[in-house]
Amino acid sequence: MSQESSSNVQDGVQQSKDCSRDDKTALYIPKYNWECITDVFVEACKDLELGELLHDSTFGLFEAMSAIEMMDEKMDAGMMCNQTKRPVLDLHTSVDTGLVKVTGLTYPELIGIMDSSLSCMVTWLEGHSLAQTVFTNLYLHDPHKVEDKPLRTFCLCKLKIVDLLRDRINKAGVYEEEDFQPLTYGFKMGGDLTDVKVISTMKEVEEDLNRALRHLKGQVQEGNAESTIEYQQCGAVCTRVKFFKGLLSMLVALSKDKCEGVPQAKKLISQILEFIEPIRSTISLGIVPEDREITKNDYPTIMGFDPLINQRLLPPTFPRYTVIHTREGAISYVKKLLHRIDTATAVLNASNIQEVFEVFREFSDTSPCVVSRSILQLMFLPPSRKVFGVHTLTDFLKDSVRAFVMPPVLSPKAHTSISVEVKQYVDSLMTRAVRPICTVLQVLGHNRARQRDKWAHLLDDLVTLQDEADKVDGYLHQVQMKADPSHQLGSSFGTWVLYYTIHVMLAYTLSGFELELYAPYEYHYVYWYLYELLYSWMYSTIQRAESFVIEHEAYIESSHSKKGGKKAKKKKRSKAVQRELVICQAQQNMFGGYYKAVVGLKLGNKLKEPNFEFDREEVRYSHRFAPFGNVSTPPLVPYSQYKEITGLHRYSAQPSASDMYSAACKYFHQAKTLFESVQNPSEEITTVIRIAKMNFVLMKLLSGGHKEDSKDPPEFDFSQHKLYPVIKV
Amino acid sequence: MNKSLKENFLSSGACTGKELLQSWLNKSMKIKMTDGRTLIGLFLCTDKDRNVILGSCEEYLKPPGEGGKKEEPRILGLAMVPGHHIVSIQVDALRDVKLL
Repeated sequence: MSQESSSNVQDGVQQSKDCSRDDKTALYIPKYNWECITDVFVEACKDLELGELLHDSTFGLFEAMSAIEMMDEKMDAGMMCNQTKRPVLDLHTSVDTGLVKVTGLTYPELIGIMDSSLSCMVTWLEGHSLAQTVFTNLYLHDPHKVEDKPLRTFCLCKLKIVDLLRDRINKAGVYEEEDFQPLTYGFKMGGDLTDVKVISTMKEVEEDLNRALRHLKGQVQEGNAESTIEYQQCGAVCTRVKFFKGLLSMLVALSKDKCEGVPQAKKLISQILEFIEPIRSTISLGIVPEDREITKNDYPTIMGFDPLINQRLLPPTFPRYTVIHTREGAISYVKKLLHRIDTATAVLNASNIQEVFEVFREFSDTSPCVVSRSILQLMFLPPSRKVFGVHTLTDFLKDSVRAFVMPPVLSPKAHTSISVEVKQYVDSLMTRAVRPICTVLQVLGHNRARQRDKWAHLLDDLVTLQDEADKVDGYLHQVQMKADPSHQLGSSFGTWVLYYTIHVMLAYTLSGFELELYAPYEYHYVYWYLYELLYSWMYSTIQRAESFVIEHEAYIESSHSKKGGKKAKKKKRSKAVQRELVICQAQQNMFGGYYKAVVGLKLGNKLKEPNFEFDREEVRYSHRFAPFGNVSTPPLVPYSQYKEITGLHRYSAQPSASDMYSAACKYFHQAKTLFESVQNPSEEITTVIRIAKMNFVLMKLLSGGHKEDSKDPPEFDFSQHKLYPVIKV
Repeated sequence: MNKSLKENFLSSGACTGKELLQSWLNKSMKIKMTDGRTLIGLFLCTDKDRNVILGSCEEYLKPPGEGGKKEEPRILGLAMVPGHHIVSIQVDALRDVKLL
């Protein structure tokens, strides 16, 4: 050891001299004069007591705890490279040693590489790091090194696709760490070539392959058996080239400003979908990995892939265990993704914020992936911050307010009589509204689990906006009273904001069911709150908005009495509002039914509240509705008030469980009737009607004394719908 | 060149182990591990089992300066090396030689 140390010292001196010579050319290279102290160090450490730490005053146990432990297989990502027995080689070395071919690849090899790299990409899109997925493909590290034209072009196309997807997701900003890893580790994404150039080169490759196909077809017809297989393989490669070319073209089209490319993207989607089945059926033609040792981070791959190649690029935190999708799984994922993007384009038909909100809500209900969520966000609001890339946000909001409550100040016929001051007030309110309303839509872009917290925070912004809207309404009322006391104005702006506030409160409360946060013994106050408060406020808000519109129209008609022709549009609008009102009422009745049912089950000793030692119902209640505390309209109902309102002592004769079941019965029946009156019911409505019927039947049975003595807890089965359970006893 | 550190330690018998360790605190340290990797970082903390904590730690697959092209280090930050995985320890003696 001592010999080694002395030589080390010399090395160190030598090195430092070398460094000083290089100083002018090199940037900063630390100069070290290493001195071996191994033995002395070991001896010195023996002086320390067991458990004693030797450290500076600025460094303590707390800091020590946050250090990563080397040579610990969970914490030390760098250890993996040394643990595998096989060498991990980069592209250049692999090519030099002949392990990886860059020229003259066979069709099965191409098929295998293309399919595997699709699997990697899909795994990346599910929230894994680029280094552990897409860039385990060595060819992507330097596509220009690849001589084989189809493979080189494919690699460039793939890099472009990855880059465009990354760009969409980053720009939309609706991801959390579990959705997407934005780090690129300095990999080059083919930035030296334009998208158009790559697409045209793909086209060339496709033509080359088509030529080869025709040639092979000729041989097949001559009865050459070997050619038949080759013909199939060549066809499979050709399909894949078309598929990836289509995917890239579609993403390029979607990235165009002003949503101009959307119709083209829709066309491309339907074309790409045609390739899905041919690809799926030819997966087996590609090469498959040979068996080799499988560890947590290492798995067998085909030529050109190495799961450990980027191990050293991973951050010094816990490395994630990445399971790459199967080839079949990946292609199914892409199919679903394409359908989701296609659905998202529906947002372009929306003409105001209410409709956009509806599209966003329905889309989010299906728990879509981060790519489609990002694309939807960007279609609505591209980086130019103009709605669909065309309208300014304030104008769009004004149109939305017109469509929802038609405030006389915004009426197109009223502009002459408006003073500059009034206009200023309204304009500044609209400018203020932009941020909270856009946040509502942005929250809908996040994954379902993250939305709940974001709704709670958003309420604070909406409360401020509500205040301002009320002030503007008050001011407008004053002005109107001076000008024409006979024609009074309603609080139209306040109503418009209130509509979103209640929507957010509903979204917050309902997400608790979807995320399975509520225990069955909590249901009674959650159901009560929904039925008695939120939905009834919602109903009255929509109704009030509608009455403002009707009033305004009547007023306009009375003042310019000879105009018709706009009836059709009016009718369409009122039809949509009627539908919304009916659905709102039906939902209210559903929750009313659940509320009565739960109270009945409690009275019938079927639903029991556990004995809490450190908890009370009041604490839970306050916690569940805590975010509503800051909202002034509708105000939070405190627990004491809830108890007072719902107390059974208020009835002259104490109701029995059976009375409650009968009441629930009525509500479910009413909900069913209301839902059935909706024209063109969606699939969801049909499901809810079925659930209402089943609950109705059960309540009828229970009220008639079915299983009266049973103390078994009821089951709330959410398998058919995530908000409306089927009750079972 | 001053006398080497080691000669210094050995000659000064009065120097206790603790004082010696104290004198190395916050200096650059190079540790070779049992799996062949080399870590370079600031010496921050140690204990009886000579577990060492290095700050601003960088990981090299081959010890730097031993021929071949210079490899890009992996940045680890704060890292603890268990005592039984330490093969050799070297300390940077160029700076603060006067202290001893």
